[in-house]
Amino acid sequence: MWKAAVAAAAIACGVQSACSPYVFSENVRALSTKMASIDASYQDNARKIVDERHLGNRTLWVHEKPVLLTGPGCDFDATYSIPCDLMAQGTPAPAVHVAAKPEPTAPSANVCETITDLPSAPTTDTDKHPPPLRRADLLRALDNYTGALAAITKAQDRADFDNAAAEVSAAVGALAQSAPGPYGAAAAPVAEASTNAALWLVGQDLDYRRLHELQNATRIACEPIHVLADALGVVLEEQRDARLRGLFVLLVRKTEALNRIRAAPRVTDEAYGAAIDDAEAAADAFETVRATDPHATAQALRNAHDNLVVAVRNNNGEFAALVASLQTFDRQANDLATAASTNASVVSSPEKKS
Amino acid sequence: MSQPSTIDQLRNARDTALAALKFSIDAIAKKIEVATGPNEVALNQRLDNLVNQSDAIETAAVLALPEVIAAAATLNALSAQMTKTAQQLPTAANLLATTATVLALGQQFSGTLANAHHG
Repeated sequence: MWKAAVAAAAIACGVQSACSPYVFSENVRALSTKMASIDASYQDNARKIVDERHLGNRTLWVHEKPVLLTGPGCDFDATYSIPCDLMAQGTPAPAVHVAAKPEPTAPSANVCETITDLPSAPTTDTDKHPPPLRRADLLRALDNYTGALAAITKAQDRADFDNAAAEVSAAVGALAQSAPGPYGAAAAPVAEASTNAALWLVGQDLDYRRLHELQNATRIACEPIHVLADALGVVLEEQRDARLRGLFVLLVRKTEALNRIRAAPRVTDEAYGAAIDDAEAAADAFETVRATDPHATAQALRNAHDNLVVAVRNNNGEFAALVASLQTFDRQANDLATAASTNASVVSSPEKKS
Repeated sequence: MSQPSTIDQLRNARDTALAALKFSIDAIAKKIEVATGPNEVALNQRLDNLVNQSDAIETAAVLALPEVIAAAATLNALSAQMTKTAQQLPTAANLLATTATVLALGQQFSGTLANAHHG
């Protein structure tokens, strides 16, 4: 009877690790490292291209001292294919391919279920008229949730279990070997296989309990994530726009100062070149912030969570898609945090007027 | 066709208000870059006013929407519940500690039995 159970378990799972949800983690990590390296090279080259263009322009402008203007790329309300930079008055403006602001995408089919068993939030006296949230509250709610998802899935626990299970299995083999009588040695391999299967089933139980928790959590979080992602997108976009306006004003005033220095009598090439560098730095800071799109990132986070909800809901023991969905959601959450922090991290000259 | 959400309506209203001011900001900025003479100060003052007006158009109302407050409360309660559940899930270490204890007892029993058999 137990032999049949062992055989069934072995057939069901095949190689033990093939059923593990974390078997892909090494491959994914290796791919992620390579992608990070490619991304770093791309960023490095992009930076060099900008620096070389600035140097070429600087050399020319120090010699010719033309009136300088902010280029058409320095528009804080458009998605242009050209970067924000200075340009000499009278030179043909670079061709601008205006990409219209994307229309709000039609909402895809709502994957969320109607929830009737919401977890009870702590009640307070102010429940009838709760105070408005602070911006940080939105990010904290998402942060708490991703942290809880990590606690539920806890990949390391499964890896520890697989390693330790092999040791326990070997110990069982040794135990059977030491058993008295003629059955000892002959029974050892069978006992080891049986224990492997038993441990594996315990391991599977561990995974399925976590999966059940994950199914319940993502089902309940589905609609709240939609609402919070939309709200966060608006709030972060507002912050980005305010920062862009400030950087635009700074750039305009640096350009104004540059043209004043140009027109001053006996201005040295060194002083004029330094003023060009100053204005170019403001243009770069503007460009860095403009490249962020918190609203699109928030929408991507919402979509990633929808995919996770569907993957978890349809999961039938095939964990590969589930792990991929979890990683995508985690990446989108990180991207959102990066978008939120970019505004604060871009450095520009503190003075508003040179 | 589904109706835009309240959040989308607030966002669209903000974009419309900002677009009107942006047109003026662009025009003033172009003049300032090449400005000389006494109107420089006035132009800069006008630019500051326009930017301040734009900054004042905010969407803080989003943070006071009942659905947003309720969503944050639900997610926070859910996260607390998930974290608590995760702590109660059996960890690999707990399972193996139990298994190891049973095995050690088994080994001890087996050894005792073998000794008795030979003895």
